[in-house]
Amino acid sequence: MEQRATNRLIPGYRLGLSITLTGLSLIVVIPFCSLLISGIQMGWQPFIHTITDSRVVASYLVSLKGAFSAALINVILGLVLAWVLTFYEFPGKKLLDALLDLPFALPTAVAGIALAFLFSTKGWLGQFAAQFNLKIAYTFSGIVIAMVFVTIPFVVREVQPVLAQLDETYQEAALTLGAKPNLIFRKVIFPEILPALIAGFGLAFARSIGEYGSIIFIAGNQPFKTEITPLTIMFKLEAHDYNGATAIACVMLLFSFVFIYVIHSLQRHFENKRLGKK
Amino acid sequence: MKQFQSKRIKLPLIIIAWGFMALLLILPIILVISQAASHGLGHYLQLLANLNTLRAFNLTVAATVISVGVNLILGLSAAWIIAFHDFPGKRLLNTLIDLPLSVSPVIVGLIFVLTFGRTGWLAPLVAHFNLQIIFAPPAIFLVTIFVTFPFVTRELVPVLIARGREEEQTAAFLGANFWQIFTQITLPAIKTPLAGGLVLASARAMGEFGAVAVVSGNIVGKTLTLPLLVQSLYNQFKFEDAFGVATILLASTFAIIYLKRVLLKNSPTF
Repeated sequence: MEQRATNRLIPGYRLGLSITLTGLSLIVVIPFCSLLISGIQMGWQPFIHTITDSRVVASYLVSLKGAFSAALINVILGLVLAWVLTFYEFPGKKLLDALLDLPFALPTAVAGIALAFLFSTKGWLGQFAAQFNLKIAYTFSGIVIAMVFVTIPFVVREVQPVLAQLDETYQEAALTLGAKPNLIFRKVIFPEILPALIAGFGLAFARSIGEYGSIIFIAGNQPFKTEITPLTIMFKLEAHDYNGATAIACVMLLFSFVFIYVIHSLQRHFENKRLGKK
Repeated sequence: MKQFQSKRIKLPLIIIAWGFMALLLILPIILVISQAASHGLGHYLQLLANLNTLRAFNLTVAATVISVGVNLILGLSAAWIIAFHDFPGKRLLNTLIDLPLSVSPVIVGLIFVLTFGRTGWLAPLVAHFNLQIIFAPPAIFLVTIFVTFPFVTRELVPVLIARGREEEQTAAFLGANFWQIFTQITLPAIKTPLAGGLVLASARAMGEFGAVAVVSGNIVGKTLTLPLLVQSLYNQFKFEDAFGVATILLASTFAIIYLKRVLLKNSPTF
């Protein structure tokens, strides 16, 4: 009863609901139904045949391995960045914080061509790597670098607020009991930031799996080696194989939803553990 | 945090942080600018005044303005009902609004091709009204609206919920109508996060690549946005031109980051 009373009290419910539902149906729901319809229409056997094709499976592996490596790198470096930005004063701190907005704001195509140039064997960093016989652009490492670039902010932005709100009494207690900084980090701080690290890992991983613009310039795009799944969909579309594109897209979407669910559960598990300990 | 302030811990960490950011974020910016300038100022200005550049610029501005405008209305409506009203299916609505954030841009393009393309199920409708949607600007506008859909709502909902419903309820109780409550009570309180959400949406709209690449058809001078023009020039090995066009996007990026930092202190989305 109380809920109904508030609904009646503030006006604009019907207007807001109709605008929202109309917009959402036109822009999100109807296009997604197309994917569903097209997936159902193509039939079970061609569907399975497309998604288990060896070249497509190879692209899943490239995408998954790349996204996993990039997310892992970002968990480590993101923690360092968040740590440094929260606890230390140093020259250029504000600039460093502002730079963290760049990967989300910079158009991915611009990031893509800049990274490809930078890491090609003639580029500033590629030349350097070539001295050690390392090739970065147009190899798997190039894909990981592009994925790292676009997802740098996720872990930092998740961990920063948690670090800023840490309760120092536990650390001081540990310190009085003779614990070394290393031990304090592992036993007192790490459990506190673990849920945020997992959330950041999840966001970075999910974004890397779907990323297209920044990767294709640096990847080399060789089938079985450096072809990511979104590019496989793109190739199918360019060949007017809409059924093929649909099938692979369904696999990607299904994977994303399962992945998001797993990350949410993990996050909740460690959050409960953290609160339970207190 | 005294125990972590010793130079032995602090210095290496700061060096790692700065080194990582310098290599991966600052070097690319310097590279874009230096490549764009490599053929001299005259060449650069000629490139900016080139008809294809101007047309791509116009299309990008149009896509950004349209999607930001649509998001202003949709975002406000969605935030209003989510924050101020209780109704069944609210969680589903929240999930649907966040959905565009977790879908690959290429898939976004694909679902619009499947809807409005030649073999799409709405193709008869499109043909009946003699419209051209796919491989034309309307599709570019549609996918841009799709990818920017969540930004405004995600900024507004937490702010509105933290504020509570009391002021709006009191005003309604005293007889104010919807328009009065919205313009005189709610809007002044959410001006800043609203502007911030629109800034985030315009950043994404201006730079969207994958989804637009699928539906654009890449017709030079007609359906190329700035990011697509960058790609097209790059693929023709006109590298300094690609980087030249990229500087327009880079400058807009700086403007957006500046506005975002003024308007939104700690946004969850960006």
